[in-house]
Amino acid sequence: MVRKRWLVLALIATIGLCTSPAARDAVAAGKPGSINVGVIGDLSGPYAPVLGPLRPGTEDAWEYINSKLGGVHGVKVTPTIRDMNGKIDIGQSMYNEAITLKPKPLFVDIYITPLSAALRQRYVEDDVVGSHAGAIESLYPVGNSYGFYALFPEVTAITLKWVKDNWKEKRNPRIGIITWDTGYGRTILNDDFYAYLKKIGVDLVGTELFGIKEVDLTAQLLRLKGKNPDYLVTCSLGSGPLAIHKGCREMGWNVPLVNSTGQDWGTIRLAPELFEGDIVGLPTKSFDETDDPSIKTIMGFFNANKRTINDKSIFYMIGWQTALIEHKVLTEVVDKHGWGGLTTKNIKAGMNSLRNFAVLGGLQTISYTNDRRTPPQARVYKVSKGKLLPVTPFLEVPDMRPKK
Amino acid sequence: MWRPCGTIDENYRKDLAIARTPLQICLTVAGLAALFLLPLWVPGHLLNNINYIAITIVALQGVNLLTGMTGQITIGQTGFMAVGAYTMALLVKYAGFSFWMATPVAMLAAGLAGIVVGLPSLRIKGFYLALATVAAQFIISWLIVNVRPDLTGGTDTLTLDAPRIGGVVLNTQSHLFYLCMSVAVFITVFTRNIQRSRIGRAFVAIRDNDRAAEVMGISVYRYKLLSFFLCSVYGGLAGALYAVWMRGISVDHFGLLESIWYLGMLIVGGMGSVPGAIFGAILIRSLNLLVTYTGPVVGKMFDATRGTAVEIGMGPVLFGVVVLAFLMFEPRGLARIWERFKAYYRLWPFSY
Repeated sequence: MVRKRWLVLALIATIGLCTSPAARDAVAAGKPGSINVGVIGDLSGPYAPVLGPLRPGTEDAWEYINSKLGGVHGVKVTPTIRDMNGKIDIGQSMYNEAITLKPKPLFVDIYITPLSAALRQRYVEDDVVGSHAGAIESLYPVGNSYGFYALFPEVTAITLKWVKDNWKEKRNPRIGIITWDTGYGRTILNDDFYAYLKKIGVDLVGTELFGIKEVDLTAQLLRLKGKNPDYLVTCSLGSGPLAIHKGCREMGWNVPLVNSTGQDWGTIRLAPELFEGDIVGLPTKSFDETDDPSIKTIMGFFNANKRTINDKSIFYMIGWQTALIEHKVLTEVVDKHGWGGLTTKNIKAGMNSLRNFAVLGGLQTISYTNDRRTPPQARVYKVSKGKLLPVTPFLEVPDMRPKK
Repeated sequence: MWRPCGTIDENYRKDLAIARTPLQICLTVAGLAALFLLPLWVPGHLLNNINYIAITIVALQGVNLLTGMTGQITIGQTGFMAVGAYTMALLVKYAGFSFWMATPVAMLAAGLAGIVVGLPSLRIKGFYLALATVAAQFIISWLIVNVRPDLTGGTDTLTLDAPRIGGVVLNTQSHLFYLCMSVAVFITVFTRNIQRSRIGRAFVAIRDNDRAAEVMGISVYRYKLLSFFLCSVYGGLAGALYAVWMRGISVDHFGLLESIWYLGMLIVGGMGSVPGAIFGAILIRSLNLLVTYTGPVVGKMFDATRGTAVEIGMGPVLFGVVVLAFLMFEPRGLARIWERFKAYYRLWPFSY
């Protein structure tokens, strides 16, 4: 009886110790009042038609996380979103502002490739993690940067693989590349991409470049037309694909365009009839899959916050996706290491151990490793009556990381 | 304003001095001390903007020498900045040079590029020369992208490590502040000295009337080329500073629009005036920041479609209005307003 009494007393004492204010304080040691993340994008410059909706997307996603998922273990996350208006120097200034926020942001995401590339080493020195577009120069050699979708040439590659797989004639399909003369546009002009084309049996007959503000592409298109390609391939967005199609129409040339992330709803809205039949590789599900649970969740907030048609672009979804990845990783790091362990080193380890994380149950599936900093999947779509309709499930993209 | 009645220059040395009275010297020293103590209380992101203004001042003083003092319009300064930035970055990355060794070479390379562009300046003037400098801007960009893209990165970004001085790595904005601001101060004093020298007077004579200058024995061609050389050297130096400030460069960073804005800054600040270049750089860069941060707030006052249009259009419209206002109401820029203010202060309470 005495022994039993001692056992009960010991149990009560143990429970008391564990639930005492001192113990609670120990568990919650270092719990911040709020968590900051920085977001910098070209929201009103040349990339605005596609990138502009990043702001509402990010705001809605963090609102969803803070209100429905309880933030990160009860701590609200505050996104600080800045528009660098296409100016690199302003973007640099905003990055410097972001990393001096109090408390220091745990992620600073940059949605413009030249700025991401210029600051890649700064991320390591400033000990901060960030998400960026799928350009090799932004992500490799590996540092603290992660891509929010597969590398641009990887996405274009699976799109062309689909073209080849659905090719009916005996000869190989012929493609002509006409792309922006920028870092983004030229991402598909590399040896790995050319080797992949050869491997799958797609013939590249010509390559043309054009400036980001160029609207008359007659000369480039005439040269390509002379080589008789079956498809044109580009890595451009907004005014870029529009200029290509307008030029083709003016010379009576009906040729489908193959594009990647840039040719989303923001671009197609500019002239839906011109983009009809184009083949597009995208990293996420489509707004036009209205029955999909992930799209339903997104659209719930989209409508509740009175977002307009202009806010429907791939970067509205990427804003959601990035926020949800960050939320997942931060939550896991706190679970594993406690609030005191919310360091860049642990966050990186958390990012690197993400495997098949289905954002909102399937908007996109994310896996990162220390060596591969981009999700390895994308999906092929066809433009039909202004909509982007999937023609494949999510496909594994070829690995086009730089060899060195 | 610090030279009341009775302060007389007794010799040429005194007459040529930048700071002529003990009070002026004290104020200059105090001003510089306050300037260099800025990193102690200014946050990093503001220092970042101040650093960019300092780099702009360096490039703008070059444009001031060529356009403001010599009267040769250039719309290609960012092209020369690109030459300086890429030369420095390539030497550091592939030839093992330090930033300190590579920068003088970069300045020289930009200077030589400037001489090549300046060669037609004896035969062509005004808008024709301006167009020649625009052509130079395009040619330089093309060369960077196409000649050795394996080295320059083509249109990709060429990244570089932070420079070191002794054991200190210049990878924070406060460290970079001392580099950029020291160079900006040195360049400003250097330009002021050129302006007061025989070379500066020859530049001004060419600007005012090149035929009269030639009759007076000034070698117009030589001085025009010298002006192009100095402008480009300044551009090269600014480019090298820009590269270490940004830590990565691509041709997209050195666009034609930026070159045009250098001219706009000079108009707003005051053509041919050394303080004017400083005023112009500060005003336009600050306005740029102001628009960037207030644009979204103002945009939200309108419905979504109009708001976006307002946000996008605010910057160009505001800058256009500022330049137009200066051209109409004070073509000699902020420098002239500063002179008037000094005169008023000196004479106060008397009107003249």
